[in-house]
Amino acid sequence: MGKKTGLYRALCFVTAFLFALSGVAGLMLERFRQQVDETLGTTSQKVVSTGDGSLWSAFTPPEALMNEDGTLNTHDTIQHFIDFSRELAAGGTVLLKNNGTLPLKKGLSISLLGMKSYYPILASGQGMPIVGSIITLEDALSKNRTDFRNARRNVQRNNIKPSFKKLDDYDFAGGEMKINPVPFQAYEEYSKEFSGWGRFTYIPTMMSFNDETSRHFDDPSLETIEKYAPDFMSSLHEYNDAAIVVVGRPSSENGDYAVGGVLEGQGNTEPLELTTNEREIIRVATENFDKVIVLVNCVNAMELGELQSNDKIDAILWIAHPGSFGMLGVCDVLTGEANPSGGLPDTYAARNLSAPAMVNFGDYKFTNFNTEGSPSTDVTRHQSSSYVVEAESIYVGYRYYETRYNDVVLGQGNADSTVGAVASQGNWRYQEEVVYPFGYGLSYTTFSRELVGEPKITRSGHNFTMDFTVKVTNTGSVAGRSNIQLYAQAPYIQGGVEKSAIQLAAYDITSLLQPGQSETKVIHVDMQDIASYDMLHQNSNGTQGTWILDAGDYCFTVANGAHEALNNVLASQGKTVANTSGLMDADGNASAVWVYHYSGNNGAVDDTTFAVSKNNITISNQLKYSDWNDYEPGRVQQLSRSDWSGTWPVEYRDMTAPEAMLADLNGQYYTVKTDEDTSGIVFGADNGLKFYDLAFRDFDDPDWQKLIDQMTIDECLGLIAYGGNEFRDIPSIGFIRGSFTENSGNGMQSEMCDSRVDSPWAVSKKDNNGHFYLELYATAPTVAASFNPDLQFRMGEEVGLQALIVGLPILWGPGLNTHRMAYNGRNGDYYSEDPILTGNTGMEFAIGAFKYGLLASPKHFAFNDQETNRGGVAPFMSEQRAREVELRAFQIPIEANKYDNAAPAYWNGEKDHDFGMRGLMTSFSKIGGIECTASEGLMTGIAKNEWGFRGYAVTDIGDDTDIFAAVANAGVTGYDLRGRFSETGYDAHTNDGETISAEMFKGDANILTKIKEAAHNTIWAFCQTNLMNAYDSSTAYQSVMTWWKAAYMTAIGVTGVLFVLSLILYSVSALKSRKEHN
Amino acid sequence: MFKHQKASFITALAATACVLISLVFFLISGSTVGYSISNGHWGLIATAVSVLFGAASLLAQSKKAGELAVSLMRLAALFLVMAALAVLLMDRAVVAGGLFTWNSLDKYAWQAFYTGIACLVFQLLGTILFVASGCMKQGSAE
Repeated sequence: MGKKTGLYRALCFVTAFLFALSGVAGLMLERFRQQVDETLGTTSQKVVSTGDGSLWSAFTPPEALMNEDGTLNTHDTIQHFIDFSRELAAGGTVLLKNNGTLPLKKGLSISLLGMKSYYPILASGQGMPIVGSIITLEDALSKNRTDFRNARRNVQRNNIKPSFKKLDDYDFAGGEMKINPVPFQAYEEYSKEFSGWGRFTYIPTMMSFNDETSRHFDDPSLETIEKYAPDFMSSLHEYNDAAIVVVGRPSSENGDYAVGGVLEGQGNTEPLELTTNEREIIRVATENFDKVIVLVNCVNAMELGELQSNDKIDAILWIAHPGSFGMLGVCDVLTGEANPSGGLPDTYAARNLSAPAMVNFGDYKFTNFNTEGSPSTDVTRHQSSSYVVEAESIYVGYRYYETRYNDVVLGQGNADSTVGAVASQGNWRYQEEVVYPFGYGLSYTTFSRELVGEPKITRSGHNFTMDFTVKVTNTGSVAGRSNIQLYAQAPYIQGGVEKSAIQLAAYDITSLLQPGQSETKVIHVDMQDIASYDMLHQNSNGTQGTWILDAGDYCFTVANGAHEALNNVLASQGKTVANTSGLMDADGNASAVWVYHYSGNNGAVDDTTFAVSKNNITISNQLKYSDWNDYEPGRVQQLSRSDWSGTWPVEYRDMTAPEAMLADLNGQYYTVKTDEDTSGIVFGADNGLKFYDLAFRDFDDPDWQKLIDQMTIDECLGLIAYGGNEFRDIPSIGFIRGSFTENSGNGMQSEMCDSRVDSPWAVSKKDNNGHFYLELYATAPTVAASFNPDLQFRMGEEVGLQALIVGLPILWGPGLNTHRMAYNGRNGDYYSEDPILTGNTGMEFAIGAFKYGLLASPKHFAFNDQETNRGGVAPFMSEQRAREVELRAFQIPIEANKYDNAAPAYWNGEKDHDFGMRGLMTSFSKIGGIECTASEGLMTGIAKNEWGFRGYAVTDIGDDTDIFAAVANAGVTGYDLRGRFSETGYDAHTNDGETISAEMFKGDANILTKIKEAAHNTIWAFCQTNLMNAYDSSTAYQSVMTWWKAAYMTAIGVTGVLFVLSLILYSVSALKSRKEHN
Repeated sequence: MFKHQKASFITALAATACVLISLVFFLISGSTVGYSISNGHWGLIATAVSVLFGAASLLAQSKKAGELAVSLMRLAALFLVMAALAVLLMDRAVVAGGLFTWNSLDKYAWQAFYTGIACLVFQLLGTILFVASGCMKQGSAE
């Protein structure tokens, strides 16, 4: 055997390996094409349309942001985004305490203290680290700076290197303060002590304060600061006009704060309590400065009692997570350029453990969870291992604290006891349990707010509304805006339906009022939002459960927060501090209350007005599996205000799923039929329509039937199976595959030049401003805290505009889940503990976003009440709680009653257009024993039937593929099978390995009908969006040759040729050698 | 059979063993509840056939079959294990992406990920050993 043979053989093997490797690399690059594009800044596929006329006209950016040639003026656009970010943060900042120290004058010499003064939590969607240009507190407060600091690379998207630096062209008026540089030296050095610290980032896991990473929550000790900056203390005297101390906590997806989750030696017992080091830096501030301001940089309610009661702290400002440029807004508030007008979106308790929700929160596993067990005795489905019993009934947030306070004052319901008292010295006392109530917020001026006359009451069929006239007067000495919070108390019948003693009914905000100036606003209240859900009510049609209004006195008042409102109501009932022996903590204003004497149905409960929904569906219980007691009567005791002490929640740990629950938990929701006659259900018709022919058509237009009839079963199934991040080609209706969704709430997770479509305003990658990162706004609680419908609407417009720029029609956001308690790690993605505030904020966002053709698909529908075990956790609650506290937040934007008779200003379409929200993302969690995605009661009974929801409803990532048929039956229209997109065949398969296919459902008439409905809903939803800008008969997906494509193709080609050559040479040589040998 | 075998035989034997081990890990990873591997059946088939080709090449070499035939079998084994690697990587990369972001608390996902890593390691090792074997002299040690 010759040496050459050996050489050729070696070459053959080596080139074979390289050839195979190139092939694998090519496959991977194409498989993750989108992510590769994002990382490398390339565009490998684009939707291109060559037609003219109607293209790019349905939705366009504002003229003010366009160049004359129709391209986007990127400079003005960025300025616009910065300006709004600033305004939003200012509007959502809440002044909690102020003895006149604020506002500060510009130009002072100040010291910023606290690790988060240097490393602020600016946040971004889903709690993910900030990417892109930002302005820190120091930047904003100091003299005008022109060098924005770019965020460090982060672990989630560490391939995005912010390269946008041309910020010297932008309007960046700051506070002109002289900032003490010494503390920053210490913080900078301290941050190097541990790895993984990102400057403008969040901490990804908060399950336990014991994690190494959780040290990032805390401040360094004074000793550590002085180690790194020996002249720290002396520097304070040099920059002594004021001290601003920043304390805060992050928020995150996929993690909750843990009860007792603290590091030993940090000096706190709970993670939202101040640590020793935080207290120490505050002490240093109070001992060395005459003016001390504390900024609270959190969205999970920290325990602020010690700040409130510390007389040496002159002011407290809640700044939430203000976004990339939000510190400009915070600076505006600090310096008086903006007068704070926000109110807290949550109750800030003295001790968060006092919330009844905290009794049942965290990790609970069914004792009979066993994936290898028997379905007749065990929970075998791995997604169903955990549960949580939400035994607090409707008493979440202020609904608890204010109601119990009310009952203590009135001496009813055994409220006045030690049961549930955590911060109180003896019996439960509101003054000791609550630091700052829901809705509370101060201003640099003062206002009087009064109800003028009687409201205009409108009753017609199943509509019942009241329009209150509210007069607000600036009684102070500086100009300012006043939010207007209108509260209501419905009459409570002892032992009857649970009711909150006070609840937010509606809100608005004045324009800027000069001292002495008044403004009158009309505040619209829909009594549907005040109605209670009586799940035990026997309906006349034999069903159970409906909305009711009890006969009695309904009290309405405007106030600075829920507690002041309740005190007003108590005052109107004759209660004072004096005559309640101090049980009342402050005298209310009885004259600020209007009482409506409602006779109901001739003195009896009104069970008819709201017994039929706005969509003309008779109401009845739809969630018969939501309560543990539905399966095991009497097993769970719900909290009741009829007896606070006797019904205080117990912890439901180590529960065993009863036999009645097993089928639900094990996913036995639907049996696919195989032998039904489905010949009458049309697929594959040739009706000559393309989907874009139906752009902006009404849902009930008869042409939809014709269009959907053209689709094949495979296409319908494929649309559902790949209804998430990537959609497939649907040749029968001319739909081109693509990626059409974005997953966030406070901006697009894209650079401005990441356009998916070839629009006239698409920003070139060569544009100096092109790499400006768009996800920059404050997170959800700030938006809610503004109590400003206009600002909330404009937030939607802003995100919609971003979506239009990058060519995305669907947003999976905002988050509309309720802040069940402070420990939910994802509170930063959700607005508030109150469903009225949440629902209205979400509605304004969705309607605003639609101005630019962005379809908001809020999440998570529904009951995503904790991140722990969120992938399938079974939350059990009463249907009253489900509907009033959680579902209402979705009902409001889906019904969008506000816009029924008053279209938004941008609308010039049909007068009777339905502005209801057209998108939803479902929840990973269950409702009771049933997956939310497979809950017919939730998806069809409530969302579709009662509320009239139409549109695109997608699962969360990869949810529930093993109950595909059940999900399709329930009414979900798409799966987010992230990453399982395939060019050939579905490759969507159940967890049991079955491949979803047309064959599977050919004999099931119900499923075939449902998948056609799903197709109708989804395609119709697309036809309302900015996707229609880009579509006509010429639209096609164009592959673009990028350098990485060229590289792997070249590698495959070259190595392939070399392999073949070496194989030929080797073969010839080997055969020759063998012949010679023989 | 193993006596007096050349280094190429031993190396190919090790390669085949690695691929066989990778098959086991492929099965384990793909059997993780909720984390089956997309197109996993093709990956399994490819790996199994790769093992067969590897074993056949060893047998052929021990029986002093033609060098070309032995090499072709090993080349086939190499391509097949790379195909299986591609199947595994394309699926587990997605799982990994989720683990380092929104899905970090899912213990099943971590299980699928770690066993997938183990599979990948043995697949790569097997591939490299096949290449090494191909660079060595074939035939018996005598």
